[in-house]
Amino acid sequence: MEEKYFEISGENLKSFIERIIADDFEVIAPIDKDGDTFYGKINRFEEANLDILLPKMSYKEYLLPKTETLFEYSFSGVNTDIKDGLESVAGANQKRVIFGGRPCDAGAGPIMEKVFNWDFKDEFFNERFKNLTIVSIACEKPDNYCFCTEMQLSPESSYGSDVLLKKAGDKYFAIVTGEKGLNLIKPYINLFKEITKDKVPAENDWKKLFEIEKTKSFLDKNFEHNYFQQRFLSCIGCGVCTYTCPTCHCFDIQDEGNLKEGRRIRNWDSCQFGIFTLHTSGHNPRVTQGDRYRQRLMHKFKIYSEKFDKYLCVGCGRCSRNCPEDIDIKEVAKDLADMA
Amino acid sequence: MANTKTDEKLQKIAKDLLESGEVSLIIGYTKGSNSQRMRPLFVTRTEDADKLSFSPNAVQDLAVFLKKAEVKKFGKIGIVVKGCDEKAVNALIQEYQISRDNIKIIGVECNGVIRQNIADKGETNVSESTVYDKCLICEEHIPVLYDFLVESEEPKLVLSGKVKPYSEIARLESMSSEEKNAFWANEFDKCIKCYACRQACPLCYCSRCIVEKNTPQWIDTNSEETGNAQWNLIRAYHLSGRCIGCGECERACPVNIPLMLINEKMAIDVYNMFGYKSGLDINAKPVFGVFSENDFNDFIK
Amino acid sequence: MEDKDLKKENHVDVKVAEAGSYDPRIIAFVCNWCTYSGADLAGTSRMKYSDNVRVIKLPCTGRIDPLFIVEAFKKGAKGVLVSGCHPGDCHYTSGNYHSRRKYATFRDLLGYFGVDLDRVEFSWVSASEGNKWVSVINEFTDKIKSMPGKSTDIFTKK
Repeated sequence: MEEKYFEISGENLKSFIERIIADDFEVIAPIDKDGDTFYGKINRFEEANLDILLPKMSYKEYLLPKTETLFEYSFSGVNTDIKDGLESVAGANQKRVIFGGRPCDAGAGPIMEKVFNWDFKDEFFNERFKNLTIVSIACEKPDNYCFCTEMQLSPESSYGSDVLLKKAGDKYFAIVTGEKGLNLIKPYINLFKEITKDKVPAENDWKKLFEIEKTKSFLDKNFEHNYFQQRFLSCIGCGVCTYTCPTCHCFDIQDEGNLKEGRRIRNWDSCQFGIFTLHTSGHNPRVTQGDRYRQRLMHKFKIYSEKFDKYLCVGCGRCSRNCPEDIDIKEVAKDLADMA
Repeated sequence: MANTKTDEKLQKIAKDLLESGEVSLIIGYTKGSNSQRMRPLFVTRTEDADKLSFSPNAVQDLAVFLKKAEVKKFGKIGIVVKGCDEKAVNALIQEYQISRDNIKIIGVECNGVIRQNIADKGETNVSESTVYDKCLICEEHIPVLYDFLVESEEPKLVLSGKVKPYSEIARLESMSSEEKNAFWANEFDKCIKCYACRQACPLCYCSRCIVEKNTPQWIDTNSEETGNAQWNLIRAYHLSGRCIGCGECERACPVNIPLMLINEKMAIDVYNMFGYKSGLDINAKPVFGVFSENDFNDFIK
Repeated sequence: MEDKDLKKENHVDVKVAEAGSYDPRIIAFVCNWCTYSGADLAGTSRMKYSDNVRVIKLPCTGRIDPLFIVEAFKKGAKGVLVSGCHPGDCHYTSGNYHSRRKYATFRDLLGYFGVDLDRVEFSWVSASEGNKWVSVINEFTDKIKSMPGKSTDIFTKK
């Protein structure tokens, strides 16, 4: 489907959201909580904080929950019952909308989709991704930690969004990128006014601070470079960067249970943990935190792009904002580009 | 930004220590990714000492690096510490993790650090409503142990008593079991098991943490209500009588679980029962390493 | 009496024997030298006590990690008892003194997390106190049985 363009007033946007909530959609939006902003379910339009640039955590958990049951078993003494975890995913509310996220968060979905459909089709991920409709709002003013422009997106990019809203005064322009977005707004189409593409203001000319290709070419040649060990002495391996990242998707499969009942689950995992690559023999190929942070950079800016033609980073800057030791990935990527 | 007098003093001490060969590494602060942030700096060459700095944004507890193998390799280390961080150094010495002979403590007088989330929003003022709760109950604005002391140029923190630090603890204690249960179930529900609380803690130095031991798997690996409660209880308990209250766990937590409400409660308990405060005396025995025949016995039949 | 291995046998859950009756499982962690001998004395003296309790023998109260208590709750125990030698009587001189310190703070922490402290009990029972063992167990069982509604805690699924 070709992109379609609409106009919607602020008031109508409010009624649109309230009407989809009334029609049983689960609407996830940035909400103020515990002194910060997080994604969470809203029941009224006003609960959403649309002024905040980015919530502290990404909405990754709606695609890849922090703990997901793959299957459960119970043994009665005679028979063993096995329940596929996919049933509960497929049976869950299939009307979920992420509202008020930013283009960077939206860009993460299709990037992650690639790895979850590469050799093995991950039905859990696909089922959740299929049922998620993403209504994003373009950024007017990125902050110092943002670098989506460098990461082949932009503060106004519609990549990954089903509907992208661009604020203009007290109204919004809505870019509907595909069937999913159109299906969402169709029942409420009288709130929208269709316009032609030329009515939508052109994208700003966002300046880049560095070329990500240069970062990659540095990483291509300098695996053993001293920079990593020195720069990441200050990394404490807390994993906050990976857990708050919208594209980091490593998980760990664990079994829980006993003779009578149990389940197999997958939990989030992080390459920043010392135990992540620890072999049973006791050998660990990534001994230092420098090795581990280098792995994160390599995966984001080199390995993933070689395999899937996309960098595994959307430039949201969460890892920099949330790092307790103030490691700024934008600064690091620029350092590497400058050294290339 | 220009150097303050504090910065200059720090730089001078660092240079002298490095030049004389007394230490091979200085861990300090330098300016960070925005004007309201500081970050750790590792100085091995005298010419880099000029980058050292200190401000009310120096929130990190640098003692956390003393547990890293990569840092331990340097042997003799100089470290810039605030009063709270210095207690972590003491506790590490008490528990034989580092030797007093191998560490030069550069103490900085601190009158409170600004909470990072509000500093990021532009707060520059140090006052009782902008600093961490730990600063409001701080009794060690000047570190208890140091080799060098850099006095502060900042005005002293004025306490009106209006802001009650850790007031939630008293409120929680007055709740019924069910209410407490509901409170913590709600908090732990947020936990994503990133273990940042552990990694950010200067005293969580086990080479293999209890959660990583899987024969048997004591702590459930899931990050749902069961696994999260187990993890948070055991993390807290392993720091009972040891936690020095730097608050790094809570600051590192990406989902804002009020971990200091637990740590501070334990500190109060340990003080009430055994009269012990952690990290004040390098010659004191850790509170759970000793006992008294007259210990609290009321709860035992 | 047998001590059951908690990890191998998962029979710690509540068994509902008859409609209306509440038959909670209680786990007792005891030291080898005093309380276990005391319980043994109760048995050889043909004293009767509640069969809700399952005894797990360890060398010393000093060996009873607070994790064991958590593990028992996790597996569905409704009450946990820790029992060892009286102060001064420890076979290893000071194991019970150390554990007393540990448990004083751990108990407070459990209470702070919303675990009903009536569900955790500590006692000193010597090898000659078969009577005391019987009364500790019976009283504790009665207490647990009297509070079926208060069985939730943060370690088990709601």
